[in-house]
Amino acid sequence: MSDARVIVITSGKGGVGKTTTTANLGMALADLGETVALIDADIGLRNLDLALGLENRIVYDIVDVVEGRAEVRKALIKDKRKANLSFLPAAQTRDKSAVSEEQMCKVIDEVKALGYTVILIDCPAGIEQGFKNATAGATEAIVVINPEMSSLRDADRIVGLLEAQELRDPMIIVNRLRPKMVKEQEMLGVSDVQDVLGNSVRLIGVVPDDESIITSTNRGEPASLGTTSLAGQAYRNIARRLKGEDVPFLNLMDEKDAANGFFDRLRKLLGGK
Amino acid sequence: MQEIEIKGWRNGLLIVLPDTGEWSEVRAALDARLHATKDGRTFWRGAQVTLELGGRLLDEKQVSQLSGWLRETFGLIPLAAVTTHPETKAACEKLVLKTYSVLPIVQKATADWQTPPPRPISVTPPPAAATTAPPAPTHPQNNALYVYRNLRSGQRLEHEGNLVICGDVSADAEVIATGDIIVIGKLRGRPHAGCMGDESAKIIAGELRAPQLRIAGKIAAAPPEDTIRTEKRIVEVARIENGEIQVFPL
Repeated sequence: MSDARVIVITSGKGGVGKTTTTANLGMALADLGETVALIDADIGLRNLDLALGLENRIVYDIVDVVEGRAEVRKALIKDKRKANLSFLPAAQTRDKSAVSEEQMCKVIDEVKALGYTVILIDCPAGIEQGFKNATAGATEAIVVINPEMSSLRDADRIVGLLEAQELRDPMIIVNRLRPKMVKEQEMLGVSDVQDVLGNSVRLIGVVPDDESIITSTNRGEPASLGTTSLAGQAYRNIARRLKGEDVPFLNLMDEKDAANGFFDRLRKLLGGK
Repeated sequence: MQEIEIKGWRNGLLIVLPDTGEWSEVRAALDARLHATKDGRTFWRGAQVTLELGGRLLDEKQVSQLSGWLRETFGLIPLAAVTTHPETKAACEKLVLKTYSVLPIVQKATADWQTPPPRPISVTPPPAAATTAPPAPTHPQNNALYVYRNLRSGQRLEHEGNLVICGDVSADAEVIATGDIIVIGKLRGRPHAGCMGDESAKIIAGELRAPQLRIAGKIAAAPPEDTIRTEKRIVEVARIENGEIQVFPL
């Protein structure tokens, strides 16, 4: 299965919501019928297991696979809610140097061979070895951005580095947006983000700041599982947009109805498209 | 051992280090020579330095130690090296020092200026050497480089000649050219035009929003009101006028 999509979820800056995004998109894509594998590339600082609520099930991790102690098939953990969602945990006891770029590519190839259609890689913060590992085997990239200058600057740097790795025109998700603050011009808006990063990056979603994300992440139940939270709805929309990639802009318009008018209002107050 | 010479040339200071004798002795002699000025450490601060190393073999570590030491101890800014040794040249280039095998011919025109820099006079802070240099003789720079892409934060582009960027330059991207810098899109990075001392160099941008402009040895910071987003989009040019960088509509 060489036609699996391998998407790295990255940001440069830490704490912007890469892991939460990975967990939620994985869950939402699985819900849409994709066979999804999530790979935690943040070796030494494992987190994705918590966001998925699978921390108790870890037996083998990615370093065990790389060092030949376990097969990928064995190390992959099946989600307890979605049978078509699996997760390859990072090692908590080692660090980024435990895996090389070639080894990472090999692991991804092995995961592909198991028949997964979408592989999401949760990239560690920073631009060092961990970033190189996480992006090495990817064919697409999503950059998660918080509407603040430091996140934006790091994202810009990351877009440049991704281009150098032949991951051109990455997709962006603006996370933790507070429409009210944007309206009062106290927070950068989506148009500001697009202005800084240029038009070559493609906006595939805006996730509002939502307290329920904190509780759902703590509980290990991605928000996109539930139907009530706004952020969960936003993630489900992004997953759909990811699937309908050939008409991204139309999909963005879809959001109007899907989000019960929220994005409509959001778009209006941002003065955007 | 030959003596260490410190001269001015059109791009700041030129430190000529003899290529005979032990490197450690040369380092010691240079240390003594730099400390010999009245204010020692503060006198050299901010001056751009070109190192003339002759045929001496230096590895990357030695060059990096030397430039780090010049930077940290004296506040000098090592920019370039003149060396005939290929390995030394490679080491310098690795450390992003510009290299020449001979000093560019243009500096001969300013031969009358090739005296040691003036000793500091009492309390007046010594101006950076580059700013005291007479304007370099202008010469045609026809080798423009066209770049058809955006420059992202953290990327750096250097060119000998004029540089034309058909795209945006993000904040914290660096663009450095010996001649003019022309950015067709938004310029939010850090441009340095005329980096080898050409004060006639210009910076032109479709949207000039750089936080800092550098032309030859001059630096100008954008006024605070310029950092506020405005809707105006006019092509502007920055050039040196009356000894200062000024921005005009093109």
